[in-house]
Amino acid sequence: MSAWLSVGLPALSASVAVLEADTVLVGQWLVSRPLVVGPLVGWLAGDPVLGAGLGALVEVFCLEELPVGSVMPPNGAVAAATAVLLSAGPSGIPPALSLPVGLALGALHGRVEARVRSWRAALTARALEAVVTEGVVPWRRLWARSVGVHLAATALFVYAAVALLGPTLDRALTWLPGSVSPGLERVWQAAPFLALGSLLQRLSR
Amino acid sequence: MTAVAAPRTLPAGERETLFWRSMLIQAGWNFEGMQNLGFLYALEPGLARVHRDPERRRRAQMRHLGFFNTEPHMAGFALGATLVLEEDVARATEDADEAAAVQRVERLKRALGSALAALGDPFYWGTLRPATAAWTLVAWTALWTLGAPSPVAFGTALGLAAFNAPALWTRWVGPRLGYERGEGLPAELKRLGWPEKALLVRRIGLAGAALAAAAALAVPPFGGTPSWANAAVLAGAFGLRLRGHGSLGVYSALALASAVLSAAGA
Repeated sequence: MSAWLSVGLPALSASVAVLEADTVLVGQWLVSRPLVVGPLVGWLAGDPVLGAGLGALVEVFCLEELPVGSVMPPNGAVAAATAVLLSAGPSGIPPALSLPVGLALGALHGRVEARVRSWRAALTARALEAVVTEGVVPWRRLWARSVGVHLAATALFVYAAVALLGPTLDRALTWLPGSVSPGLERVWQAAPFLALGSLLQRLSR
Repeated sequence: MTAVAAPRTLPAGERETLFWRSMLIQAGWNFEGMQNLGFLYALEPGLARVHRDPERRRRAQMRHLGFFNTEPHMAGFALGATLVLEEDVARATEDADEAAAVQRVERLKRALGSALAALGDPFYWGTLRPATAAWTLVAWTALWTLGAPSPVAFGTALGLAAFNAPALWTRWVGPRLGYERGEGLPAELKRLGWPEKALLVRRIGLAGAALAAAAALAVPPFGGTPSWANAAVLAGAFGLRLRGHGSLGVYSALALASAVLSAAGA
């Protein structure tokens, strides 16, 4: 567990943050889509099949809201990564539970992102000041700050969420009646059909 | 007889610069100026060529730190069109001419920001993304059924290529078309028929989603034993989405209900 918290999880959180930067900041090549992040994180954490399953479900659930203007739908990369890490990590949370928890964390990451976006407004003032005084904007420094703060915030968010929620959910599951798990499992089995129904509706509009 | 001006062509190397720099159009996204920092970053080498006078260049840089927002893959069109109008600003000899040229730049930028978003958002985010998601799932299932090595990796790579081929093409042709058409760009965009292309991609995506659904019902690990319950969940999810209910809410409600019923021994 300690190697997981001190080496494995920090490395995985940093990798997720780098991939997640594609969502808004760099490229938009969709390497941050859950269909990519899920299997990749699953493979790194030792369970690529679980990663693919969770990634596919998160992908479809996150397609329901479009990232237009200042709208921030649940962050698919964070949702997929945290769901996979909660299930494939040492806590071994059942995917039936890690899926909704991951999606909730993806939505919660929006709060972090909103703060970073508000903070970034100050970078416009810096750029303006640089244009007035020097005639050039120090882009490398500016991008390093803009992207660096975002990467650090996302990596920290993923690390904290998995490190805190993994053991907490694990303990909570032992308190709950044993019959709850089969109930959750039934819904998990139905999840692919729920997702595909939603995808069909999305494309038939 | 009126002379027809030859279309201006983007100087060598500038198209590549705009293409690569447009990848960072959202790197400084903020609530006040939105893509303003990325827009200036992409445009700056072009501005340096256009405005030899440092004072005019400085004024142009300050102007482009104002609000701008559009769909990121479409931003190249706005960058090219803005650059060609900046040449008119640089050519102005009188203050009044310069002010009028600046107004044209500002007007065009404002109009293109929303017009390009209105075309790009439904195409890329509303259609191409879900369509490539559906076909990625089909590719995973097909490769897995055929016993191909690494079906998820190859299927995902195919899905990424299907999204990025048009996305990168748009980013590549955008600056050139924007520069060549300038204020005539909206007419050119209309000619390109984005809504028609979106409809075609949507139909292809729908076929993929139908195939993925059929495979999920028929092929292991999810299907294999045709289940009316699974088909009912699929149809129910479709109906609930029609009525505006999100899948996350439906999943959470089902999970809670199922867990409570299980605990109650039902």
